[in-house]
Amino acid sequence: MEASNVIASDVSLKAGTRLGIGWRPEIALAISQQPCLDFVEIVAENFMNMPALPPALLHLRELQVEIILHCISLSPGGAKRADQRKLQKINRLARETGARLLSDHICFVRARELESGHLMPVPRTAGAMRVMVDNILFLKERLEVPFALENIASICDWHNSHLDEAQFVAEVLERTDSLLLLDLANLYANSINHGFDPLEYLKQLPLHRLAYVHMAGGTMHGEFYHDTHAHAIPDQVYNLLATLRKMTDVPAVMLERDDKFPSEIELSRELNQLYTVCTRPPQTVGTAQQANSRNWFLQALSNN
Amino acid sequence: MRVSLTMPARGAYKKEPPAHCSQMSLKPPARDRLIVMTPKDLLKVLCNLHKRIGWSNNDSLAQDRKELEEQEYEFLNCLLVGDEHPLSIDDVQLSVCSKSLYRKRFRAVERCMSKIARLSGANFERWFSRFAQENPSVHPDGPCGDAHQFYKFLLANGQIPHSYIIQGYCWLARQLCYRLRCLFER
Repeated sequence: MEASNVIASDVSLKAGTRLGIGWRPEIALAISQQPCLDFVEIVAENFMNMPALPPALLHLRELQVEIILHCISLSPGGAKRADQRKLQKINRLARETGARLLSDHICFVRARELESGHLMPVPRTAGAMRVMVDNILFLKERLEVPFALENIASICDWHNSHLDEAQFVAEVLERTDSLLLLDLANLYANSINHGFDPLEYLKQLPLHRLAYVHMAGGTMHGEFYHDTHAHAIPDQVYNLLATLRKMTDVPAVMLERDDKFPSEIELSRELNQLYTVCTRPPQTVGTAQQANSRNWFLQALSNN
Repeated sequence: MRVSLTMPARGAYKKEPPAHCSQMSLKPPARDRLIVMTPKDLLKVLCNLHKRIGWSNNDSLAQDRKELEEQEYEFLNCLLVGDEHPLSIDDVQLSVCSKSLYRKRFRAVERCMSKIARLSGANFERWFSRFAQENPSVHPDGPCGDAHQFYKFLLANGQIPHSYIIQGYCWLARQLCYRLRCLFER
């Protein structure tokens, strides 16, 4: 409780990086107790068939907390385009929540009759890129809100990939003119599992497209780092956030927790730590060009 | 589809023009090496060429989709059903990923099931293992759909969750408390 009060008492929060959290029913009460939040992200698929939004979310909206949508099943990296009826439902949900941003992952989740139930990496080939770009352009034509794409964590990687992950992500974003939802926990996980330098990865990304950042925890099992969203954020991921802030303006940062939900105090502590990293002045300030290129998302949130 | 740019052989058009020429309303050339076309004809040829290139791109995209589907299906089949693994993926990575997916699915279903009915741990897992073998694909509606599918599987196998009613009421009571709290806090 103390931690959340510290955040609430600092009015400078509204002038800097926005702070958000992934809204889950299990922590709905704890979230409603956090006065520091600027936005919450909801999983669109969990709400698009509901007749009405849960009261807790409506309450947050009354408190001027922005709601943004996050999808997990549009499968932009799959062989088939997204279902139009699903897109209609998502558009309806966006209108209902007043969401001004929608995102999904650079992944696939189904092939023919098989559903993976998890985000799977796409083979990074020219052919897969063409299909993915076509799928995303199809999505963007039908969605009523701007679209962002998130990098995923994966244990498996395709040997037949022609591009490395950062190149692939950058190319998809450029070709589809999409925003970037950068998950630093996923980046950290892949850097361990596939052995690359996360800083080099960051340098290759079109950071002027950055909409917001996901932060989450994970754990090592044997040789692999598992992006569990059930543990506290490791220091290495905080360090990546600090590095990212040196490279560009970070419009918003969000905490993701999907399992082993912490107590209200623990949640406050974690949000407070995120807030501290976000408000600490970066050693190297971003260039004027980077500052000017702060995207619509930051401006939209600033208007509130 | 390939477009040949070679010149017609001598005397090739003497009998009758080829089919594609008649489709484009191209008259046979008056002389062998000189093709006489009006601007209108030229426009038609260009339009036709453009269309052909467009079809060619669509064909290519369709081919890309087919190949991608094949690769991704093979990958999922290996992860979920346990088929022979594709050469383009590392064996160890696949094995770890497959176990991880199974555990994730189990946890997700367990969480959803706990809202309806919780079985004893060991029993639940044994039946879930059988269920996953018979239903390798996760339900398209996500964890709740999967949980519902599993629940039906348990019913079909005579494994009716004994604590269904109690757990159900507990869940309802919890929801009611939560809603009341929200209401009073407004």
